[in-house]
Amino acid sequence: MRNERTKSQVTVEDLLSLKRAERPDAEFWHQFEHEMRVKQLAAIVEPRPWWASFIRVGSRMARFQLPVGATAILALTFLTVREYHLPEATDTQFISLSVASIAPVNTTEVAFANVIETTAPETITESIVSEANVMVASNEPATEPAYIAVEVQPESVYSPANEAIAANLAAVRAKTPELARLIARVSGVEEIINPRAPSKVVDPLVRVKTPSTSRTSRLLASALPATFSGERETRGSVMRVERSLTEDRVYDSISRFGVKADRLAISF
Amino acid sequence: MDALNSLGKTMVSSPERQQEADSDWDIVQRVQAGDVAAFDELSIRYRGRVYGMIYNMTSNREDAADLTQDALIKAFQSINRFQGQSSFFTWLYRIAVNSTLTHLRKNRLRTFFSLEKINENDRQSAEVIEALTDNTGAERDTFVKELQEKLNEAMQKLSIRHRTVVTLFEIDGLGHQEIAEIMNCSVGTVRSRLHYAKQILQAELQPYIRK
Repeated sequence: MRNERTKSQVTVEDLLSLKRAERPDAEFWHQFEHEMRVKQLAAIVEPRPWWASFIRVGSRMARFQLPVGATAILALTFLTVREYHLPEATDTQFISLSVASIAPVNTTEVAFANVIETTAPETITESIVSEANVMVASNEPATEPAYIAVEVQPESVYSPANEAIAANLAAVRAKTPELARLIARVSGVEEIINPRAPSKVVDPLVRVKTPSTSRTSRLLASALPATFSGERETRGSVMRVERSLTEDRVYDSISRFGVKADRLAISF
Repeated sequence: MDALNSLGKTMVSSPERQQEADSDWDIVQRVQAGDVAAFDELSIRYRGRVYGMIYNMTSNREDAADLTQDALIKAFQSINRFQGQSSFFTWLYRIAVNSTLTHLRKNRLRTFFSLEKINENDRQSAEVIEALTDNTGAERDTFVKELQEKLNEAMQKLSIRHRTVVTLFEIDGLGHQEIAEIMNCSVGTVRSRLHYAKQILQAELQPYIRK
């Protein structure tokens, strides 16, 4: 090869041919032979593990790793999306009770209450809020049904007490709506304004006050008293006042006030 | 089986290589028949070439020795599965190349040279060294050592696949077809890799190239 070129010419191929001349000596091969024999015997004696064949199969399948992996991910995603269901509101049960009353004024004449709709009657495990749809049949055909939320136990949904309470409330509502509203407010029973619309599920986290809310209300307390809702601060003030007031002082203060039927007298 | 053998043998390029392949096949059949000692003939016949190939890829004589032994032992353990679809030489080279590639990938960040001495009795290498330096004695030895280190550094700058192709083609003298068989790729890929690798080597070894 080099005969065709001048002696001074050196190419990459010529330089690489130098690496061919990097050869070990005879002593190296003697040592190599010895080590090789030892390894060969060890390989014969040592049994191959049972999973060695699996590795061989796995290495053959290595070229399919990417498509198989991608397919698996796609299938998993598809199944997850397909099987995913939004959690249903099982802690509330809506029960519509239709109460027919012949005489709306007389609450004792309420005839019956029918359960019209129950969304999930068998899965209730705790106290539930049922929406009682109490329909009062009165002399006036245009009377709107009263919807009152009543807290009931699952096993007492059909109890006579519930029916009586619902019927009484319906009757009072029909006769004096203001009084019914007042009763509902005082007793803590919430009147539902629009019963046909499904109850809005509120995230419990939304109800939690953030530290920034209380901080804001505290800072704005002097400027906007209406927005001040710091219960902790109020409680602290009450405790402070209680500490500062001795019993004698309280008695003395009370004695200065005189309350009569329609008058309030203050003595200084 | 015979058809497969003939197919494998058509891959063998030269008549000498064909004769060698026939001889190898006879020995392989003896080993498969239970004559375990016959494998030593194959081991002695190819250990130098396998070692040279691995050494030029790793630039480390200890690693090369270990990997050569491992490749020969793997071939010995798997010889019953060898069906003569390719020549024994190609099959053994494929085992060695795969072991070396695995080793190089595992130790990608570790490059430690442990070099053999250049045999200056080799006529071709003596001519190249003579063309590069007029020095004699210790200075010549220093120059040869420096050149050897530069060569190995340039080889290590190639990617593993490019280095394999250069080693098999330029140093071991295999054909494109054989390299394609060993590396399980097309002949075009081999040519492309070879061209790219030579460009890089040319840039790296520019100070030693005389035109």
